[in-house]
Amino acid sequence: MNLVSVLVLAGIIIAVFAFFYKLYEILWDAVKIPLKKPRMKLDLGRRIYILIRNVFLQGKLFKDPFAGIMHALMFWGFIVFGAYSIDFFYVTIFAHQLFSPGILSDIIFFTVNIFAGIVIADVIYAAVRRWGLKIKRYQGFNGFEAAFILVLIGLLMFTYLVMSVLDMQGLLGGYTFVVRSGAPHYLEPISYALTYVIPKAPSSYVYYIFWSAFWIHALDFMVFLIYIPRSKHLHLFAAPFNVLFSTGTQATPLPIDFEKETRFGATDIRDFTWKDYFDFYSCTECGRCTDNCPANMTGKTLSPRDIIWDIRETVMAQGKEYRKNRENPDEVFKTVIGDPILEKDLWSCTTCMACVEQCPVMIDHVPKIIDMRRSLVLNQGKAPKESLDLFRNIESYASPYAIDPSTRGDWAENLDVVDLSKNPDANYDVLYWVGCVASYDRRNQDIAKSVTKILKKAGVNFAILGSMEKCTGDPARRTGNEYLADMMIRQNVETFKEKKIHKVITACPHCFNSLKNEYKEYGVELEVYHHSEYINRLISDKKISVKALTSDSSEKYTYHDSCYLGRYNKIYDAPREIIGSFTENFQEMEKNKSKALCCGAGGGRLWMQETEGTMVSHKRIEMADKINASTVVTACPYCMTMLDDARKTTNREDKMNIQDLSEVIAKRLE
Amino acid sequence: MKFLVFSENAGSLSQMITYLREKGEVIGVGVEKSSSEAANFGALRMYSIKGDILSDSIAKLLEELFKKEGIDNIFLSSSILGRETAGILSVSMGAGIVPEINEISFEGSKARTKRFYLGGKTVLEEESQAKIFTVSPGISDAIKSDKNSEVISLSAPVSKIKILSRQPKKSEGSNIENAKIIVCIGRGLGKKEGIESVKPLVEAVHGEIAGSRPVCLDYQWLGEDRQIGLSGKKVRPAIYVGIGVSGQIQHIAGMRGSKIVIAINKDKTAPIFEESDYGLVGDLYQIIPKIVEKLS
Amino acid sequence: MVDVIVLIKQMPDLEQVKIDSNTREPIVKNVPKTVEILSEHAVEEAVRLKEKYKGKVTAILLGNEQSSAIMKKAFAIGADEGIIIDGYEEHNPANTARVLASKIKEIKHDLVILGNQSADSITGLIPGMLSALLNEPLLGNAGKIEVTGTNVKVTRILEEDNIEIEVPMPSIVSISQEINEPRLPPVMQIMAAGRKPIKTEKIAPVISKGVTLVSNSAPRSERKKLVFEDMDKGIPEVVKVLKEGMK
Ligand SMILES: Cc1cc2nc3c(=O)[nH]c(=O)nc-3n(C[C@H](O)[C@H](O)[C@H](O)COP(=O)(O)OP(=O)(O)OC[C@H]3O[C@@H](n4cnc5c(N)ncnc54)[C@H](O)[C@@H]3O)c2cc1C
Ligand code: SF4
Ligand code: SF4
Repeated sequence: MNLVSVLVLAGIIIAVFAFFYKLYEILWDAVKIPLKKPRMKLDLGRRIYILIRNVFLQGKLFKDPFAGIMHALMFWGFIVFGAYSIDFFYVTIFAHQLFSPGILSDIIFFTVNIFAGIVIADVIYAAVRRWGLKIKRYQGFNGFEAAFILVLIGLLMFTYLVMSVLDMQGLLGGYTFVVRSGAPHYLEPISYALTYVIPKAPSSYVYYIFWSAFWIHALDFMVFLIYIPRSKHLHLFAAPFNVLFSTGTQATPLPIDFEKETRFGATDIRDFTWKDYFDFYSCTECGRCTDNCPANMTGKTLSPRDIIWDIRETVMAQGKEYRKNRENPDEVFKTVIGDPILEKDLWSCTTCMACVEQCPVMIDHVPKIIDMRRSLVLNQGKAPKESLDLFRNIESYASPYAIDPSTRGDWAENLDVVDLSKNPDANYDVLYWVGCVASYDRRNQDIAKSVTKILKKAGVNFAILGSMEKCTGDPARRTGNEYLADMMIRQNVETFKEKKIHKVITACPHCFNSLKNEYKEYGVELEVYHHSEYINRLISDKKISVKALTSDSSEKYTYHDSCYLGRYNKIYDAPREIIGSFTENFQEMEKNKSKALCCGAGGGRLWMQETEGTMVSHKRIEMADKINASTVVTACPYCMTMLDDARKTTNREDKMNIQDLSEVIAKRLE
Repeated sequence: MKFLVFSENAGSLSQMITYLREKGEVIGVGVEKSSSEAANFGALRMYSIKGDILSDSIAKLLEELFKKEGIDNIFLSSSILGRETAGILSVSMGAGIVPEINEISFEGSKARTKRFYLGGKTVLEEESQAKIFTVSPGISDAIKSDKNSEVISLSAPVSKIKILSRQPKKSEGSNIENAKIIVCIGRGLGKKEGIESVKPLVEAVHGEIAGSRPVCLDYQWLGEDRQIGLSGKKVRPAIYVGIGVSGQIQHIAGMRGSKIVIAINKDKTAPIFEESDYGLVGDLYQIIPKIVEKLS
Repeated sequence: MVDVIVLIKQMPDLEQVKIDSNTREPIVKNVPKTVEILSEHAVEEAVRLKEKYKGKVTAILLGNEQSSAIMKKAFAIGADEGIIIDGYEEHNPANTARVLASKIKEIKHDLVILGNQSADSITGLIPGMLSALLNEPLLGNAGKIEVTGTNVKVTRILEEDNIEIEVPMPSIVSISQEINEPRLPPVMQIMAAGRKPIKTEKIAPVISKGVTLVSNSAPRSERKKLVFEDMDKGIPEVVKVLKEGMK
């Protein structure tokens, strides 16, 4: 071994040690600090699928196409470059190539060479995006770190190319050990191209140029290795695992066992799971989540990225302290709510899942936000004043409204609907679950009436629960009051079991999501349909027929996706097909389907005043107006309430209508 | 029969005297202001209490007057002070009491009274030998009489309670939760200047103005402390008048407890009519002046 | 240290009281009982005083076995002890006050806190009656309570102005709704409250004399819903109602 080998060996040992030591520390934190366990199922097929799709194919990144392509190239470049680097150090230390000439070596060197060029272009493009175009979501965050990393990557590629070009120009003489000396030119096309551009260096300089390039390359790699786990580029290692470990139940917060647990929700970093720690480690600060957050978009200070990043910083700082001072956990772990995470930000969230949908590394922001709300509500009894009223009403009246629960089924009076609270022995095939909003709110009662009309026309034998129906608990759950939600769910589950209810239709996506996905944990298996799916089937099965819109009609429809129907349950097509069944006068709004903008009502916000910034619903109405929609079709009573209010308060009454899917169909029944 | 009538409020005092003067002889008791303002409503005599008024000392004073004047029944206005005093008095005199009456008639010494119950949902009609009554405001119009009452000044016995300071109520800011009549405006007003057309009505009924959310939050025609509804104030006035308010559930949540609801809206199908006792279908700008005119 | 007795009133949930369409009488049977809202503020205030000055909060409630849910709420907010007086079903304020006073006398206290007027019967007489029965001064309609040494100081909210008044303890303090915002009790406290024993004391029925009920009936069903499209008819009607209300 010569001196160079020894120095490089020493350097690489230090770098690898530093790298793994940091990994060890953060893994230790993730294992030792959390008191809660994630909900995990083996689910191997899904895991392999998402690993391939979201890691190797970089699937989620393409939601932002330019950044997506850039990142994907960088990612693939990194993988091949990794192979090259192993070879580089191997050959330096042991003086013979790890990948001896052959097909494998050919492939590696070919791709490395191509990618070296691409990655340099990429680095320049990334720098232009960040500092030239000043893309909003990158602003204000760790500019130094981003620059430093780009320089490291750029230098790594640059020095490689320098060595390769020197070799190709036949200048390297005895130093050819780190390159594929003598390889055919087509194997290193970029270098070959460069030889035409770059003049041959005078031979007296070659020595200095080569060794500078060599050492910069080697040191760059070592610094990179040490730096990665200490920066946001930790995601290089954490994110693939995070994707692999993703729970698949991102929308549902963890259940709470009130008999056993004593710490509710998430107050400090002990109250997250190891999977949450992977979330924190994986965040790259890319800002896609915040960029798509309706609250942030309308001038509120809530930023899902900051929430994740702030907890990550807390984990890093308090983890370090805890490793030193393990005797006094209560001294080390301070609450994250208040500082750095503002209470008001937690309450601004509409639980719309736009952040989760957008996050390329599959971080679950929403359950964390709900868990912090739970901490406030369940441990300290803190919630916005309107939510306290909401809780009181649900507790006393089984709905968010302070209205006599015995009148819940009154909307159906004179409609000849089977009400199981009045007629317990009636025969029926399907239960129509009406939900609180459509039961009590006069505007939304029209939805209930339209659904009734359609079901009757189709000859569906259905019944309602009337005064036996109670709030599903969803508003309480999303507002952090799991205790109350638990109580409501148990009462309803009791009713389902007693009445042996199996098949349910509902026109409320919030009820739909609860009944379909969340009641399972309480031991009822229900077959639940949202009315959009159900009506769509009635149309395609020709159980009902719908009058087509006359071709001269100036009516223009658009559809507003409900978060709890779309992102929560991936129902995007059924509502559009229903509209398509009678008209082609349809146009999508600016943000639609999985990127749809929330109406502002989820997460219990339907019962809170929105005073910070502007209103989410107003922003949505503006989008509908921009395409001159005359009818905005909704599929959710919450959306209906918000958009109808926005339509009026922004003085668009004369040119725009908000209609539920059931209403547009009920009107067009033949 | 001989009645002793107390109120620290001139309006209530003169209403009670007017109502009772047909039924017997009335001796009035008030504070300096209320006694002088209510001195020509037909009371035989009017006692005027100087200085501070606190429930324990007023109770003592009324008990003394009761004995001195040979009174059959005592009536107190149902104010914060009146209710407290009545409670103390009924115990110290060992006398029966009926609260919050809005009607009374006598058969011999037996009183037949009416009062609201169950938060105003029902009316209780009762017969009793009670000697003390608290009277809910508005038992009658106050109508002057040609007899002037002799005003006699006196001071109340010393109270156990020490008054440290007085703070006037903040005059700005809304007081809609305590208002008897609320005139609530909605988006139907069309423009901020529309408030000028509603103000005469607010003044004519001595009410408070309030608004729906668009009016208070979105357009800021009124302060946010005047918003009625789910995310605003919850009010239970005697009369709520909704003008150009459509009556969405979030609004109704704040005014469902109102005793009487009047709605003015040009849309016959507006949901607020389902929540109203009296509805007027038409343009508010034509209707309001007519109401104001008829009121004065 | 201040030891506080807080009086809790339960009442039928008024939203759920219906009117029999034939007799026009209220149907109160089977209507769930709720805690009168001012009582919740009273419990909250008692607990806040305890938290500030130390001491003990004893809650007293006139009810029966079904009232334990309401008492547990008071425990969850922070009341230390709870006594349900079972067997009193009258609505005569004089008797109510007497039953309460005889219990209060047995318990050492510095303050008795209660709501100033209840939402169902609206009498507002209990504070004054207790004051006379217990011979303790009444500081009524408090918007703020402070204890200084052996004295209690209260900001009394009146119709025209607010006054600050003070007396030596023990005394009765009735509170107004604006005094505080009742907390949502933490779940741990709700769970603990569920396990806490409640003292139930039976008393012999009290027969009220003096007042006989002639009738209790609703003057009208929910809303009248008289909608006028003819203004010549509608306006005079509305003006009449407004004039009536202005008295
Ligand atoms: C989360 C949330 C919370 C909310 N909280 C509240 C709340 O606390 N309080 C609240 O009030 N709202 C609240 N809202 C808003 C509520 O949904 C309604 O949008 C709002 O109450 C409507 O106000 P409005 O009746 O003034 O306006 P509109 O609904 O627009 O009604 C105006 C009415 O005026 C009538 N009109 C128009 N011109 C005339 C005329 N010349 N003469 C007579 N009548 C006329 C029209 O027929 C119409 O009925 C909330 C909404 C949401 C989503
Ligand atoms: S769920 Fe929606 S509102 Fe909440 S943080 Fe995510 S994007 Fe923002
Ligand atoms: S949470 Fe996800 S989307 Fe948000 S900044 Fe981090 S990596 Fe990007």
